[in-house]
Amino acid sequence: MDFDFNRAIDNFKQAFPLDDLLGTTSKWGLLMLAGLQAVFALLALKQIRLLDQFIPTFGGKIIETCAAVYTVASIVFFIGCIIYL
Amino acid sequence: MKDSSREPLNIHFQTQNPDEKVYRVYRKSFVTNLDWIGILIAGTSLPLWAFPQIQSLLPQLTNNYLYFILGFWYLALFGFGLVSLAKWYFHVSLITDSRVLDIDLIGLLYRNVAEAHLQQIQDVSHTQGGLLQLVFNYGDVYIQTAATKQNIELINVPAPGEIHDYITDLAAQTH
Repeated sequence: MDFDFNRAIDNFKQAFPLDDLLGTTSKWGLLMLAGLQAVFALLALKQIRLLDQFIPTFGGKIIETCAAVYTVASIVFFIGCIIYL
Repeated sequence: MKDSSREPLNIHFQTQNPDEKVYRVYRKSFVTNLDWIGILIAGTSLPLWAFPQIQSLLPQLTNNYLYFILGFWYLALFGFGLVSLAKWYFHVSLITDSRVLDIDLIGLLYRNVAEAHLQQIQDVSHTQGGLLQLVFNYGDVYIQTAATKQNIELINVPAPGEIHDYITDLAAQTH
């Protein structure tokens, strides 16, 4: 029996309509991704601060500053997603 | 790191003893960073190719979603680069006038600090193999201490033969 690729795609689209997926369901998924990234950024900042306290160096301060910028950007991004998505 | 003198460096760490002097600080060879730098460069240019494809395949996607994907992608790349850089920068081995310290940062949430006093060092060895290690002169140095103590491994450090020699000389002076 031949496999009908086009029919399989049509069946898939009917089973998972993209318009619905881009609606409420995916919105919460995307928000969760943004939230997880913000949590990850906070953890990275905390760990880098601890390491920089262990061996304080100028390079460590630069990395810590970058981590702080990343954390703020992630939180702003998360809030932006809540507002605009 | 290229300095082979025994002058103390102007570096301090949290658990340093009052009169303790830091002689050497080693990180992994910079060549070991090329993998994540390559991923970063490829990831930065990926949306230039992928975005027109996504727009033609999924015309239903609104601009808000596209901006979200783009913003999330670049933030995630920035985070990946930052953590990779931090893992390299803070993964250090210190040689002081009394001990060898090895600080390992494995992932983001796990850190391991091991130390061996120079008097406890029984054997030092190093391995260097593979094309990259031979071309860029880096490898692993293993420091074996008394059986009940933890052994120390300096992984992918530059010029392992020189470090091997340096540690055995220092250990011989303290025995």
